[in-house]
Amino acid sequence: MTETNMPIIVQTIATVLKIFVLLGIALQVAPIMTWIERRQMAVTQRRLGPNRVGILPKLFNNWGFFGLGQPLADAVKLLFKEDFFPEGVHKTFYFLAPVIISTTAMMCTMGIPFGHSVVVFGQYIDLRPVSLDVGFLFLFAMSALGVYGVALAGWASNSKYPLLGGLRSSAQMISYEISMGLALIPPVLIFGTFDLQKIIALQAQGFWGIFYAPVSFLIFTVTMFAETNRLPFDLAEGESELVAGFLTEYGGMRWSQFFLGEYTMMFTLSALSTCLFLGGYELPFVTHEMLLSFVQKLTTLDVAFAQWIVVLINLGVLILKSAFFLLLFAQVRFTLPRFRYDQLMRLGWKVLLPIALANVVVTAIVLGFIRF
Amino acid sequence: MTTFVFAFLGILALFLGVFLITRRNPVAAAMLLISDFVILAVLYGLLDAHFAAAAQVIVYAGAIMVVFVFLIMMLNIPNEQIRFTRVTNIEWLLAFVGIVAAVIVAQASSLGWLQTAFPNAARILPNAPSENTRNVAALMFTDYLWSFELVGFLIIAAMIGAVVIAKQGRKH
Repeated sequence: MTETNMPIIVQTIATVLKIFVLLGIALQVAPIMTWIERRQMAVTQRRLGPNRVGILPKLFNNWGFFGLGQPLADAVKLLFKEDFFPEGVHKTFYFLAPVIISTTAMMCTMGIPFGHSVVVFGQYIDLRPVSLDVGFLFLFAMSALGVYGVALAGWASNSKYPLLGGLRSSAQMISYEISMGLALIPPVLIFGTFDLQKIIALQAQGFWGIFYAPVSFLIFTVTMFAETNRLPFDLAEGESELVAGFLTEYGGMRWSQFFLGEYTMMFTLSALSTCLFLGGYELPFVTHEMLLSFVQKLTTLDVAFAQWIVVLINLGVLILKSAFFLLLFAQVRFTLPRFRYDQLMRLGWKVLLPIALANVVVTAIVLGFIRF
Repeated sequence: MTTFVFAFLGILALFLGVFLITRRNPVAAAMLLISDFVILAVLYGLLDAHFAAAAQVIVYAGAIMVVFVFLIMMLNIPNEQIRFTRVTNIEWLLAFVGIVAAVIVAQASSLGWLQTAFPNAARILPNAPSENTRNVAALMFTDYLWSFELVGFLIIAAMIGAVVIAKQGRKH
């Protein structure tokens, strides 16, 4: 399943198409999730939430599609806000900070496979933009760079609260990145590869990763919240303490770039968790070959066409499974209060890190007994 | 194509390095160092050393430099209070020696002298039968096991040392 022996122009076109597919999904997460969060928050707190902003208000008797027009209105408002540099900011870094956040988040997304390989004109094409030997380590590396966006935003704003927010966030991200990295080691030990597509194929043959490494799944889910600065770990923003943390001096499109990055990162980590623990883009107990032959029988189509239907099914499954995590992100936000800073550090270093280390050691010992 | 990209990124990395040591703003210097690390990682990737590239970004750019940036921002010393010194003659000499050494190493590697010095390198080359990460791990836990363990021991010693120093500071 390699992409060698292909003309460079075909490779480039294929890569660009793959990037479009993934970005098309990832960039829709932010507007849809803001709407879902508002509605879900309203339901949780027994309020109405946005329900008037409709797409076709007059025709359908003002039935506003549950306020689905809200993201559009938000986007228009943010786009037309004045773009300004507050006095005293370090202009280069003030400009760069949101760019770093959104760019690294989108780069991260490029490591996610969204389907089995397809054959086009006798050539195998892996359905993921980045296929390096190191697999999801690429994703991990890019997410590690994202912290500079927050830290720089805090520093460049030249103001007290943003600086505190930036400092908190860099300390928090280092602390939780270690646990996150350690939580990913047991799946790698069990499946024996960093390649997400191989891991997904192995899960389709056996059981989902969550059954092999439940502790890893729990730790990864907790650190996911910390890495994306979501409640209950959003101390970098912390409205009740730091005004809006590192975002205080930002407005308009630059501000929304931070949010684009945050939501893209949420989607990426959800998709990574899906690929490692929930079987990725494959349906449960159905391997790729079974699905392909089933679709062929059902539609009486050639393999060349049937494989694209399978790709669509894979995409849908990946999105649905990631949506589970995205909804979890939202529900946790309305359920749990924010941590105090010392509680956050204690949880990271004294609870999660020892558990993650013990998890690695125990998994290694058990695997050693089973395999040798 | 690859050669062109490699040469371009190499020159860019050199320029960023020069920029880095001539900046007066510590945060700017730190950010330039981070971009230099990322470009170096891309160079490793172009040389098919994918694991080294990922480790470079995760460890250096993603973890060590975060601590640097954290400290620079926490101290937040105004630029006027930082004292700058002129480059002394010895430092010029050291820089010259460094450049000469780099040229010698580059020449030696292009003539193939280093292949006899590192015979195991062939096992992690792009044409190797299995994944890059697997090959690196295999080498690390067989031929270089003792040096690997020694490095781990040194790092633990440094960590304990840091904890001891931190505890002593709290008493006084």
